[in-house]
Amino acid sequence: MISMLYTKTFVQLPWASFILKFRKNLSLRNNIYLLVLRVREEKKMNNINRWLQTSGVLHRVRKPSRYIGNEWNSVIKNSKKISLRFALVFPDLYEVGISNLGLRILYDILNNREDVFAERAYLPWKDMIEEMEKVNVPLFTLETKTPLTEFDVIGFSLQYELSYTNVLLALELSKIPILFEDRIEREDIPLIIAGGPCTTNPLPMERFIDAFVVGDGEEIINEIAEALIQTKRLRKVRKLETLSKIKGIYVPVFHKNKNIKITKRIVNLNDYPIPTKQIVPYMDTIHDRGIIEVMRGCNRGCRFCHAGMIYRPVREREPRTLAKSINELVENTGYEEISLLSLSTSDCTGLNDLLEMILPKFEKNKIAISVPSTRVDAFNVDIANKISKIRRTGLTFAPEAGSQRMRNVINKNISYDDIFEALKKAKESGWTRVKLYFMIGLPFEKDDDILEMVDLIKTIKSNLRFKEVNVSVATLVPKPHTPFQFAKQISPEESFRRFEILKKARKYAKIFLHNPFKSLIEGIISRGDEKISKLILKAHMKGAAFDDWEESFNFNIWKEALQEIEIDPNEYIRERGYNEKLPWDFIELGIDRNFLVREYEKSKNALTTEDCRWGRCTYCGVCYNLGVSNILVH
Amino acid sequence: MEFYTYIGRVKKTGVLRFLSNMEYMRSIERTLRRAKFPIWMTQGFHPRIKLSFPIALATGTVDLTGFFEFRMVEDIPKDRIKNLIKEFNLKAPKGLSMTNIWKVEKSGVLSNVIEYYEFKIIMKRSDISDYHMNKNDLNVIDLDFVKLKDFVVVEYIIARNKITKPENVLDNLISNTVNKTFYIPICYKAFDKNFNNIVKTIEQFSV
Repeated sequence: MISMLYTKTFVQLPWASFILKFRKNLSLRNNIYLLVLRVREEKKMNNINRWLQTSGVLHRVRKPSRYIGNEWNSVIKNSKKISLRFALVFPDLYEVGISNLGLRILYDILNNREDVFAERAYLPWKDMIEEMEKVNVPLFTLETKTPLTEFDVIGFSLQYELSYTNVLLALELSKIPILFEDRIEREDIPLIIAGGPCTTNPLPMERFIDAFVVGDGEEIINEIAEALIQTKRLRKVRKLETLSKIKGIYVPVFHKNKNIKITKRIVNLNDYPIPTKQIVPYMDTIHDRGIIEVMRGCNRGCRFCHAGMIYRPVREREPRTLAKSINELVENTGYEEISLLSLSTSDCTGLNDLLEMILPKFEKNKIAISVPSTRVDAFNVDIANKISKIRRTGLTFAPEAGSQRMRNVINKNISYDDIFEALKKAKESGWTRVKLYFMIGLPFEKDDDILEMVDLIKTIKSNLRFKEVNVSVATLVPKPHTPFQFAKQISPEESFRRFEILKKARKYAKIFLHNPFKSLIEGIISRGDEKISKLILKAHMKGAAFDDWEESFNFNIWKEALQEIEIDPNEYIRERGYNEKLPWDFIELGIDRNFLVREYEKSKNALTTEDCRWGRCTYCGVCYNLGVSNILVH
Repeated sequence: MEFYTYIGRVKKTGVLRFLSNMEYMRSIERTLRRAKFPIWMTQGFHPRIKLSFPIALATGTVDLTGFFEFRMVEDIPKDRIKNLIKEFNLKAPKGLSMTNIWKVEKSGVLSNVIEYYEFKIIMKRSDISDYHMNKNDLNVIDLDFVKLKDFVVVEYIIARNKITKPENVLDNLISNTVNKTFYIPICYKAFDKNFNNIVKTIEQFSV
């Protein structure tokens, strides 16, 4: 009986019932166990898979479902029949990485090609890392449990600066030399490339990555795959040379002379299908829902916003194709919630059409829709009510600043009345909780502005009578390619001082301050140059990892690293001159320097700039520099 | 909205044994949706599928007795049930499979009738140096060791309300710390209060 059961739990064997008859014969039963184990081990399992399944490690680590793979819609191909093995690595935990839309898109495009097999790898949590190091198991992919070194190319997703140490950790766990110069001669080590929003300033990472991809990935990923298949038998240097000729790729070793321009890639979203066979994870991930990108880019022009500058221009998708894909997505995944993703979904001109098309069916099947990034001025109670009929989700607004002057400084383009009216309507429609996002340390901010923030929170709580108000406050980190790239970032001490003023609002709301030391490190890396790669390496060697996780971030490590390599943080968070050469200038996103200067000047005087979708052209330069234009449904 | 109550039986094998109970339930729910079961949802602001398991298994346990109760909005004839099961198994990740569905009069059958569970834990003999039969602290009803050349199998029956992690059972039985080694716990069978196989009992209740 047990033999049968054991075979059933491991492999389905047709002769299981036959064994039943011999259940008394213990030696035979033992042999069956051995047979089963051996058959599995030799034929199907590689070493890592065997280790995972037979060493008991998954009993010892927390949340073992992070490491088992085997999710619905994950793709497994016969690796003998393909020409290029691609590892997509998200340098953070599974539950963060699996939620990322970019990797979902690339995974889909790559695996739709017959000649490419793309697999995923995420960074394991510390308990698993310890286990892996104990028995010398390298970082592996989830699909086939293959070590990363066996791939042709490894692609990292650089989504936020505080994940940079994780990239180094991932390389170390994979037994891959961290520094580029130690790898270039080693043909047995895969090519390491990186994409994502952080490649708009690649210098801090250029000693660790062979090639950076700037801009939208849909088109270029195919070009990379083809180039690498064609150069498969060539040496690594030749491969990199081929990549360096593709538009939008920065290869540090071939582009040493920074006089070149690396122009970002842009696609029309309507030319590319929406990935509808999205992987359905088992565990509770940070965005545990289907994702449909309704639009890319945002022209609102908030002066602090990195995404709002680097993803220009606005490109909307056709509502009809969207509706079709959403239905497919629901059928393929079984998700009970679909997120209509973009930088500002309520601005999407086709949103009403889309909702009209999908809501009847969704209401019937009780599938919820979430619309993230709702702007206060565009908050349409009708839309909110329509959506919340199915499942009421939380209400989150980002006024960003407390006073009107400051909202003009950052060009948020919303008024006090907008905020008040939107929240009033929401309250009337039945929402009792609201979450608000604010920033401190904005350029030209005075203490009075923070006092006004207190007043605003007080009004929301006392006058509008929300039951619960949650306020999340972060220190501004000026980002490259934004008008605030010239601005000074305030020190952690100053953040704490300004937060003290805000604490007056504690009577009315729960207030949470994002760790200012984390913001400091993020700021140093964001506007960093080549020297910062030393800092990242030093911090990594001292054990910095998972810096984006509050409980893992250790400022002392970074402080020591800064001292040891003699970097003055103030040098990196200082104000920059308009004529100063900035380290990221050679990355061409189409945005004119003059536009950024003009915007920064305007912010000094608290003047706003309109969105070019409904106002006049702001001459940001993207359209005429890159030969593109906004793509709107209406 | 009107609903009909059903009992389904699934199995969780292979690597899926490392799903936690919540993850297990969520993947069943999503598979039901993919297989287009006409599921009934709770009303209100947060509609949810009604899916109830009589027990929560520890992460890492193979489940061969995955009985659960759920509701559908249609009264489904027997021949269509077969198709639904087939569809479920097509849309389920490897390691999750459905073996049967019974329609029952009212809810609560499972929690009322299941009284005992039989567990088996398989270990490699080489991982264990010493073990002893000591069921005093364990609340187990029937404890048995099956010694094989390379394997040891612990078999026990335990009351539903006294179920503990297989790991705890092993800790009590085996001198060297077993949770550092390889073992496969299996939730093997469910019984009613007279130790009859629960499948027969459910069949009595089914309509």
